[in-house]
Amino acid sequence: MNCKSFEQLIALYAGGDHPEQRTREIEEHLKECPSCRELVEQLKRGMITLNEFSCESVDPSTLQGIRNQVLSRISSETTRAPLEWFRFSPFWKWNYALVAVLVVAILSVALFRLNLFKRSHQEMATMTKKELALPSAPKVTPAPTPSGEPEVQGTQRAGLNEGPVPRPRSNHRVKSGGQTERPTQSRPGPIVSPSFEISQIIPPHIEPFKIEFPKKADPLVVKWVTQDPDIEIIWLVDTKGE
Amino acid sequence: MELEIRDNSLMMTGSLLEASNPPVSQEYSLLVKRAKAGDIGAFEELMIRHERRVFLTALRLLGHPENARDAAQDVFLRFHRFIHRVDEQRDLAPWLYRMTVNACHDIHRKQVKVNTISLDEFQETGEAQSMVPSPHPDENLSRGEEKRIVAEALKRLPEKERTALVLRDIEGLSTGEVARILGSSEGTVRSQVSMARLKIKKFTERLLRRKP
Repeated sequence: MNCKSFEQLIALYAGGDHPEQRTREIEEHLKECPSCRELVEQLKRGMITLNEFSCESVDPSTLQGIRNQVLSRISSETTRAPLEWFRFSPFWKWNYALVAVLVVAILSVALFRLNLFKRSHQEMATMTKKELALPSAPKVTPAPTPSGEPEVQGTQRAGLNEGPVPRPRSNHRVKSGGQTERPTQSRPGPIVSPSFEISQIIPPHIEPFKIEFPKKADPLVVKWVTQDPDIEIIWLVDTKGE
Repeated sequence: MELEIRDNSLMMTGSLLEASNPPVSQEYSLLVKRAKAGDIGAFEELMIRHERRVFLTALRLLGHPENARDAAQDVFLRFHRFIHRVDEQRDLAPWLYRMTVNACHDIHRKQVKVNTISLDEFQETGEAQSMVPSPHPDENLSRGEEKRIVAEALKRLPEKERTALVLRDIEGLSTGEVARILGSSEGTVRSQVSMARLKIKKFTERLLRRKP
């Protein structure tokens, strides 16, 4: 047996690290090899010295110092500012990722809402422009009266002069008897608010319009005049004979 | 970053360690449970029970009391940080050994390369000359001097061999326990331990046989 290559096994044997079978084999060899026996003795002596390190006494003040340091660090960690906790917590990477996700989410929602707001304004503006671009009400010469004054046809609804009066939703013509008739497609309508319903402001016991139609070919002119400058004047013109 | 990765690896092997840990007394498990619930008094009691072992292991792994103190503090701070992952029914010792090895590894990397001279290189320098205790060491060598030489030899071992030897021969853990703590195989640990024992023996022998 080559003792040089046997050294590692002897080193393990000295520490009792071999299984029983291998231990017996080595012991057989040691009976015949004094140099390996000496090696075992030297190794065991070194191991005894190493083992003495575990029995070393430690200065109690050293251990007390370690304990105080740890406890003070722990107490300062538990009372430190939230930002510091954020930076020094074991999950700091996830904290930063979470903040980034939140920022992106908030920005997305804000941009989405801003876009909606702009779009609704654009739509409103387009609608208003369209309505403003409509041809103005044709001038209709009222039929002369004997006194020379143009005759106002139709009736001006009482009670609407007080306060701002919203415009009606559409240019429905009012038939006699309070019934309305939807105008033809090409007919221009007045500027209206999209969310406005005339029935909302008129109490049910008041008839919205009461217009007396001329008997035959005279043009129908409804003039709605208020004293409030903010209230627009609406002309409803019917063609002759219709 | 490195610290976090190492802590994660610690947690991965935690289940293996816990599986091999011996069950503990009811009083001990109650203490751990209280510490997990945030009782600083219970945590301090656990520190008192384990601090000596942690400090001495760190001292042997690093070779310097100041560094060992830093390592022990680091170990207990990590212990406090990850105490919620501890199984109160199992002994904490293997877990703390693992954290001690990691903390010492971190400190060792930061150190100036003072311990990187190998044992063979060390014997060629004048520093080795100053460690020879007497002209006839075999007869006059006291136990204190022998311990000093062995401690010096230990410091100059490669880190992995030193760690395996400290846990096996100084702390008295079995080869299997050392392998589980270090996350390696028993064969690797046996090889590291045998190499370390032979190196220490040769270092001591050469120093003692050196003529003044």
